Amino acid sequence: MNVLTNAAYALLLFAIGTFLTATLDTAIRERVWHPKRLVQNISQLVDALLRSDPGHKRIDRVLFFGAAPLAVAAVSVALLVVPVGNWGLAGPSLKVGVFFYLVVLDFLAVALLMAGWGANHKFGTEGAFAVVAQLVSYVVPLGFAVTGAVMAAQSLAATAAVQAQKGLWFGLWQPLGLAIYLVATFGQTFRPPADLPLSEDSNVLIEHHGAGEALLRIALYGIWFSAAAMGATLFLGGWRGPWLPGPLWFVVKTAALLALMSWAGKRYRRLTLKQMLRGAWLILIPASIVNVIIVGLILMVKR
Amino acid sequence: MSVPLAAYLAVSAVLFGIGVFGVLSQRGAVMVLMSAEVILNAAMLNTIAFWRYRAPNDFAGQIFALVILTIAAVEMAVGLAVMVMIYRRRKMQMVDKIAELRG
Amino acid sequence: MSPAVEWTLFLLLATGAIAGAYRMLRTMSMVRAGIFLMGSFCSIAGLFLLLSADLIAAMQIMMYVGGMLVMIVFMVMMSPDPGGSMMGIAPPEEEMDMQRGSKQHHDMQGDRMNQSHESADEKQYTCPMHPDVRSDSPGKCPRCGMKLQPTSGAEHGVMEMQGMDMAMTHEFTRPAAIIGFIAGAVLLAAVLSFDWPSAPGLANFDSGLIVGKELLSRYMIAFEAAAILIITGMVGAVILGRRE
Repeated sequence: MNVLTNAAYALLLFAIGTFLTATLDTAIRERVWHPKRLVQNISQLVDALLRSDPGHKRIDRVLFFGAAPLAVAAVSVALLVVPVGNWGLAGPSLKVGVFFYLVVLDFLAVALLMAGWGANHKFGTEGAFAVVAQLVSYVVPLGFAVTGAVMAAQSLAATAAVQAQKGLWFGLWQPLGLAIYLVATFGQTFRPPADLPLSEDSNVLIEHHGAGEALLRIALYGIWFSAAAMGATLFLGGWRGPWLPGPLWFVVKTAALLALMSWAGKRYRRLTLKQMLRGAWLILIPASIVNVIIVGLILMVKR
Repeated sequence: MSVPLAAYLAVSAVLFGIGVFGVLSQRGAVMVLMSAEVILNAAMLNTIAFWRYRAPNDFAGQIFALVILTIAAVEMAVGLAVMVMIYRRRKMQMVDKIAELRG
Repeated sequence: MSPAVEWTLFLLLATGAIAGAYRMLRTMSMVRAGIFLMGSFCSIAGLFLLLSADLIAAMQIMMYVGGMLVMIVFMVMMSPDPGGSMMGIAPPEEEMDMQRGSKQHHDMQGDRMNQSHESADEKQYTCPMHPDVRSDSPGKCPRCGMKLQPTSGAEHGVMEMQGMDMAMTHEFTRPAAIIGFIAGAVLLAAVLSFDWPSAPGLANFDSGLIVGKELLSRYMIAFEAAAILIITGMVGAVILGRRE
């Protein structure tokens, strides 16, 4: 029973989360708030999902068709540990929850690698390797930024992080941590301006059409949603808030982070691979180490 | 725990055998490294199985597994670095062709 | 959890682990090999979860998914046929420009023109390990017993690409398999001949908390030694990999 509840939770969160994220992102990037456009998007999506994709003769069948299911599965499993409200589900209270989330993020990159390589196309392969490079570079700052929040919460469980933010949100006294988390999220979830693997010249989704491509794009929205949700949980207090019910606060905070990242994607030009790698290795990683030291000192002084 | 310890140890024995086969039979140097990782994983499985069935309240078993994981990671890194060096000199990485150390 | 569920999970994960490792060795595509090995390691992580070692399971996945991705990148960089064209997956029309790495691909591209008028139109079969064994009908190679693959005039099915032997395994595969089999069988026999005790019960604990505390108190030496090893390895790898 417990397993089914958690699975339903994850899948529902996936469906609703991706829908809200996609709507928000489209609204901000194209400045449309009209509901007619929303209906148009939904019909386009359903149309894409119904189109099957046989794939051309030269693909690597195992990798090409395995990519979309893996991506969707990875994002759903990642959403298992996101606490929407104080509901006592087993997923968000998983003792190693936050670490588990970081780990499952990698699988989306594996899925994109499979998609890019499986397409047997020059651009797909270039995109696939950019995916690996971004994953490997940005996972370290992400981990260190999360470490700051985990140190303050004294536990790796997501619910513990929310409980520990009774007084002051972590993001307020760890501003560097929150900033690093957001920047690393761009790299990990391939959102603009860090979306080189999805650009025209090195596109992992090249040769993918129909349902496969739709699922992969949905999974990309889903992972962005989960990263924003985790950020809201770890740094902005999750479902804690004065007057509104918990889940509503969760939605508001996640939406705020999503809107911020969407705006940044619109505002800044797409980064080249060299810029992204330099940014990660030369700036973010030292900054995140400094962040951990600062958080440690603050915690020591507070004790 | 209805699955007996012997079952886990059997799985790790089979994995060890596969790893040995891989290390001894593969020509590509990176494949040899990957087979060595399989062997190390078999050892880790053994460690954790014994930790769980013999002394689950003493976390030394998990620490040991962590150390094995660390060693595996470092070995992979250094091995790949050496491989890159060899590849730059000899333009290939087939172990039977680079069996002699030269210059 | 109930014994039925536990046994089912165990058998699924054990099969996944063993099958993944085995498929890695037998596939011709390097990228698939990396993915299969990743699957094997994730199955082993699942076994760790069954054994209540959740932190180690998460660490295993984190390290090996990233590690295998990097291995795949290196294999593509350094192998002559990372995509498994030997398996019949055709390389893309842009020839092998897209495969990064060495000059030898450019050499191969030029020579392929010469190769195509070497073979005639009849369907011939050849052994992947012994390219000089040819036959007009499918069957088994008389020397090593492998199934004969058709030659199609291009590079498919022939283990030689411009004189470069592309076989994944070398001539000593049989002895290697025997050694591996013996090693596994000996360990298996040792394992099954003992009378192992059953599992004691387990208190509900927070792995991360306990491991963290132990690492910084009782096992500080192990922690520091591992840290020194990592730093040495990283510095060494960077120095070794540097271009002169």
